[in-house]
Amino acid sequence: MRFSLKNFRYAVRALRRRPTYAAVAIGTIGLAIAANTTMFTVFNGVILQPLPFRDADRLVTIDVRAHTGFPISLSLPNYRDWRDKNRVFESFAAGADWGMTLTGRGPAQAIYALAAVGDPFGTLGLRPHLGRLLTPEELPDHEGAPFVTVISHGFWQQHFGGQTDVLGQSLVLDDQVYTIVGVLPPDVGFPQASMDLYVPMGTLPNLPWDVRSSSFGTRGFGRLASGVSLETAREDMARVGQEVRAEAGDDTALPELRTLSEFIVGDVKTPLNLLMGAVVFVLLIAVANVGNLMLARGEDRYRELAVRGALGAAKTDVVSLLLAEAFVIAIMGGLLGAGVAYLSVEAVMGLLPAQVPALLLAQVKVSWTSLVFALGVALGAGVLFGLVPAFRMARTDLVGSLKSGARTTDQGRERLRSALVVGEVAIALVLLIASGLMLRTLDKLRNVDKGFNPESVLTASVPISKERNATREGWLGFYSELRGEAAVIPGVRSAAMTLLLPLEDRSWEMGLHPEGVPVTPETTQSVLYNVVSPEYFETLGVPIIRGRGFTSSDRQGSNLVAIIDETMAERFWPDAEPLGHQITFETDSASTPVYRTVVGVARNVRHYELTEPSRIQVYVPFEQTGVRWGMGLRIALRTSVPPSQAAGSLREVVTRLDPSVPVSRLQPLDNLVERAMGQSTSITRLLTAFGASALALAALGIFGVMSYAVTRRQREIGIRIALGAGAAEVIRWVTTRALRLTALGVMLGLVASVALTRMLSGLLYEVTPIDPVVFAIVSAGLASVALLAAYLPARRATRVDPVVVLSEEG
Amino acid sequence: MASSNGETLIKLDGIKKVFLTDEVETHALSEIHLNINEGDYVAIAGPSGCGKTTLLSIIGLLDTPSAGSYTLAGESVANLTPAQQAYVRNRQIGFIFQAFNLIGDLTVFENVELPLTYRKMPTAERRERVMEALERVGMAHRTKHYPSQLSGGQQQRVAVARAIAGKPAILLADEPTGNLDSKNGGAVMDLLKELHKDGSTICMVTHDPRYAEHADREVHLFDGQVVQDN
Repeated sequence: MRFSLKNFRYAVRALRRRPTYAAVAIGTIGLAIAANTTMFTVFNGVILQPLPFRDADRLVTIDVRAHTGFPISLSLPNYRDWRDKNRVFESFAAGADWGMTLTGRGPAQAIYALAAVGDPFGTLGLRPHLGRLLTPEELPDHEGAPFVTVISHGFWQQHFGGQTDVLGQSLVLDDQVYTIVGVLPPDVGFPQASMDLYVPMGTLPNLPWDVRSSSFGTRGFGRLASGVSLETAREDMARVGQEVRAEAGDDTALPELRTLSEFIVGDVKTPLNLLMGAVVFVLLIAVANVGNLMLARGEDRYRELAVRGALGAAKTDVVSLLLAEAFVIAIMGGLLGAGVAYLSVEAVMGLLPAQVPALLLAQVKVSWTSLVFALGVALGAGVLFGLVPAFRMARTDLVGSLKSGARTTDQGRERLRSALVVGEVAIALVLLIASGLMLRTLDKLRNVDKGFNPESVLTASVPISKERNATREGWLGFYSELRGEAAVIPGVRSAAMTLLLPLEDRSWEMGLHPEGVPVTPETTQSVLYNVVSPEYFETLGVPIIRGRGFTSSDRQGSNLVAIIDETMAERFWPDAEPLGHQITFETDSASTPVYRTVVGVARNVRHYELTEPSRIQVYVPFEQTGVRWGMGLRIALRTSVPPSQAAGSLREVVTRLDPSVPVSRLQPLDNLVERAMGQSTSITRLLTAFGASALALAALGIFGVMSYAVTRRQREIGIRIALGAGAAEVIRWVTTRALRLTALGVMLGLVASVALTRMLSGLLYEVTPIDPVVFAIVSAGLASVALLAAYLPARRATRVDPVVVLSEEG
Repeated sequence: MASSNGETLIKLDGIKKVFLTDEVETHALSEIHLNINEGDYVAIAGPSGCGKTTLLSIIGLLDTPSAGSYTLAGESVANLTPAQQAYVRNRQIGFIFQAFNLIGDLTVFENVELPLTYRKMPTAERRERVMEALERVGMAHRTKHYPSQLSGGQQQRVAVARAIAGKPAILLADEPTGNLDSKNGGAVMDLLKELHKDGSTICMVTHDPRYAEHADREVHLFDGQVVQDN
């Protein structure tokens, strides 16, 4: 086949002379390519691109599995032993997310730091943007590290305006003075690009450096030595784990390795694969639509093609001519798509699940790869929507087409056009069913029994200074006063202090023993442990279903009490009254277990995820705990006004009581629920958008085919009208034909949906992938839209004048 | 049968054309024997539906006979592939249609150039041939116009230029005046006459006896058979 420049020139000219056809064809394929390019750009940045670390494929994280089977974080003794005994790592490091308070630079601010030990920067292969990074010597596995810090590029911009004299300047963090020694490059960091700064773990006070059973969110990671496979490393670390367990006891946790990429990309692969698949479906529908348009345009070109044939054009000449037009449409669509993608990537990123890490989002940029992808897809689409019509048109009946006034009828072409519409309907149905299933999931999630009432509750983090937290009177006094003053803010109905808020992605677990069970590591049950003020249950709307809530008389010196949840009551005392039973998770100074009496049973609260019942949660009164929780407490206010209206007053109260306390994470409790539904919400939004596009394209396809059929069959319609058919009969005749195509498409779509929607099952909640309600509603909805799309041509058919069309040459 | 002025260009022996639609056989042409020599100007006349256009389509290799043999310039065309038929059409045959059949998206120049582009002729030679043909029909001043900007008579002149630009062995004209008024129809007939005078071989289908008389020889068809040839 020969493509001459002349063919392309003619194609451009032909499109310019038919601006509506050109706009519809280029616009349709362009928007589909835009959706594909946008999603590819996201997919490329998040999934395909290597992490922004040197030789990222050699980086692994070390997860920790407790002897009870639960995942826990890394204790410092285990860190030391695993680091020293392994034979597979070139370098090793660990870090814990650490909330700190920045003072001395305006109002106190909460900032997010990584408290590091070992060689994190060398392990990740990072280089400084300015100054230097922290060395292994500055990050020892014991107290006494130098007070130095490396700040992120974002923090540098925000707090120092990008000034290069930042090196050597000081930051007051948790009342300690740290010296800035370096700045990281933009968009990198660990575990999040949004981490503010990095400090030596050895500068933090009172860490359990030598307690093997105690950890505080530390995560280990390392760089495998050259040539070491992940499998080999896993085997070696299993050996190390067993050796340490043999030395330190059977309750020692074991290491588990996974790639850093797997750790960071995590759960976002499935939704992104799904969305990528959805846009490919949209593209297929667009290709079918443009193919249909080209077939329709081909009808107008019969005579031209016949003339070319009569003048000596071979079939390959005709095919190359028609393909040239397809390619011009495709390339222009590709350029349009790339342009729209460039403008829309940022907006789509805003719709992505919050679970997509910022580190990966920072890699999402429209690049040459995106442009090449757009043009590659465009050319592929051009071949698809150009080739079949081109070969069909090349079979033009020369004699018939050259006759004066002849309109060639080709049943094959009509069947092909109908088949394309059937395909469009089927694909659109699959997408709409997928979005229908997600919408139903979202509805189920919204209505799930969370165990608490998130409406009209304002929450905030209010960590006090280290000094104030140093004494029981200090932290308890401040929070009692804060709670009391917050409770009288106008519009506030109740105020409570709590260690944990549901769905905040933050937890505290303790080992629990019920009465009668020996307190040994083997019998420990890890449970969620929450410290709350008496007003907690009222403020968060957690019902007490048996016994009582906490009161002001549950104070230091009085009987130690606890409230458990329904799950614990059923599991521990299935056939007995739980109230009055004893439980322990604490020891006194002589290591003797301290027992508490169960005085109430609260409704189960979904703490970790909305979709899964929470682990057992035990509540302890605020004033009956020996631990100083002042650096991590939250305040919750139930309001009779919109929660945001109380935010300003809360800030004022906190600042008045202690200006060094930063108020952060100030948000309605509803936000946490919305965030927990974030993945489902964003997938639903995007799938619904793609489904709506598919529906619109399919409707356009039905409209086009029916319009064409009406034009082609004017004579037949004229005869029917002449023989007495009324408008209703004509409309029924046209719409029945459309419905027949739609029914076929719906049937195919239903079969395809049964096969494909099972890929969604991991994202659905209390909805089966073949939910009959969704299948039925979507099918009926699609049929209604098809009917509507066919109605306009049907109306036009009723206006056919039999006198005019029957007098024309047949 | 008319007398020959030159070598036999077209020789049809026992040509039949049968159309099969559902279970009905329609005999469009029956036992056609016809010779056309170089330099002839033949008019094929007859009433509507007598098979004139079918015969012209077979002569122009747009259609194939159901039976009989057809020799063009001494070569049988019976076993030509579609690509070979296209090749022969491009080099040996020039078509003039009743409906002009100019391509609306191409300029006058490009329409006339079209058959030459399929010959992969060098650009300069192509241009020379196109201008020569347009000058011959008096349309050289309209090269950049589109067909829709021309009158019917002008369009047919351009169509004639397209037919003669490739210097074919024979011009086949199917009711060339059918879509024209009498004045423009007369002008086109004059043009064909001039072309014939200059040596072109012409085979024209017409149902109008006035125009058939312009030819040197009239072949009358009726019900698919030659009923008169003089």
